[in-house]
Amino acid sequence: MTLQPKGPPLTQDNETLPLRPSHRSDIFWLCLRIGALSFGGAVVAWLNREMVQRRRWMSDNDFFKDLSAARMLPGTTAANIVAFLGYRLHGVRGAVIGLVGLLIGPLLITLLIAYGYDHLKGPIFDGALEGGAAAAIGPFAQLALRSVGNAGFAWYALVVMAGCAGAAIAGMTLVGTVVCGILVSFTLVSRFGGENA
Amino acid sequence: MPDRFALLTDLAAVFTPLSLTAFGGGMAVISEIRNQTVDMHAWVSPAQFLALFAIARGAPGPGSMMLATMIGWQVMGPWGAVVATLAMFLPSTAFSIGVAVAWKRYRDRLFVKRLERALLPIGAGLLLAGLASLIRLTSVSWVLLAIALMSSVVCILRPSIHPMGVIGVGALINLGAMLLP
Repeated sequence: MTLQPKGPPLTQDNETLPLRPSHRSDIFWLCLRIGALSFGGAVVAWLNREMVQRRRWMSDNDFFKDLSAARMLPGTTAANIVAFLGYRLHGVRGAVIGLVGLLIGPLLITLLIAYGYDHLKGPIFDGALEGGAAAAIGPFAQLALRSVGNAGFAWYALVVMAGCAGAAIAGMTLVGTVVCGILVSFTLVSRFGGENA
Repeated sequence: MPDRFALLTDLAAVFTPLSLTAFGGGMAVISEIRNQTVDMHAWVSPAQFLALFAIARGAPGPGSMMLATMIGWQVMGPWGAVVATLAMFLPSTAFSIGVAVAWKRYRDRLFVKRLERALLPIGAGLLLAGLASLIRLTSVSWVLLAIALMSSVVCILRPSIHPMGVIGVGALINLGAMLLP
């Protein structure tokens, strides 16, 4: 398979390394590839891997800021974050180009599947689907760890993190969790976040 | 043909509001999509809905959007698919671009800086919760649970590994476990 792109190796800590410029067409082709191959819904993890870890178009901090906003807004997180990342890189055009790239592949593939759906049904198809979906949790776990590291280990950050995770796991609605989280977190950051916050 | 046109506007009328209320990602409105398309409009049967859901999760791209595509197709072929997809995708995405523009304009305000920092741990906490719920979903079978845990360990220890490889191996392991006596 030729999925492995040619590029610099992944870096563990790229906050200190210089960022690289991106072209609009790069955004389109990267999003097209990620969109069309993102079986199991690992889009965000894959975007982080390619845009931050491999290509260094932006820092982890920028990425996770955009991810927080994308998760808060209504709609699919993957599409929202591409709108934000594309806008960050190349303005409104970057956002639109990224979105078209991200969605055109899945749309065509899903239309094909819809067309041939009755022929694909069966234990083999379902088994492969389930196994692939379970394995897609791995990249998600890596992303979650990176995001924890990026949020930092100040006590107030840890309190908010644990509180939001606990509330969400306990079944609190997302809107409620986010609203309470913002109120508490904003208060704590303003009070204890130091000079630059 | 007025009937077909009415069906298309029905599709748009169902998915557009869902698009704008899908806080927390598309998966948050799955139950509402089910209510609307299975119970209220009877466009698909409950069993059909489950099958479409599994395919939408397995197909590339955002799951909820692809679910809208599949349901649109069931209702009215390719045109239904296109209308349902756009209705599910355009409103929320246009809104996101608008917020991104406003966000950048006010980036240097102290309020926005604090808000950005305040949002980071919330996002991290929600990702952890999402991870927990995904792992719980796989606990229906020990094979799936083992695949999920193994792939997590591998991806954390070796971040450079390619997601498609991990997913492909997972699919093969589950198939192998099914086919073994």
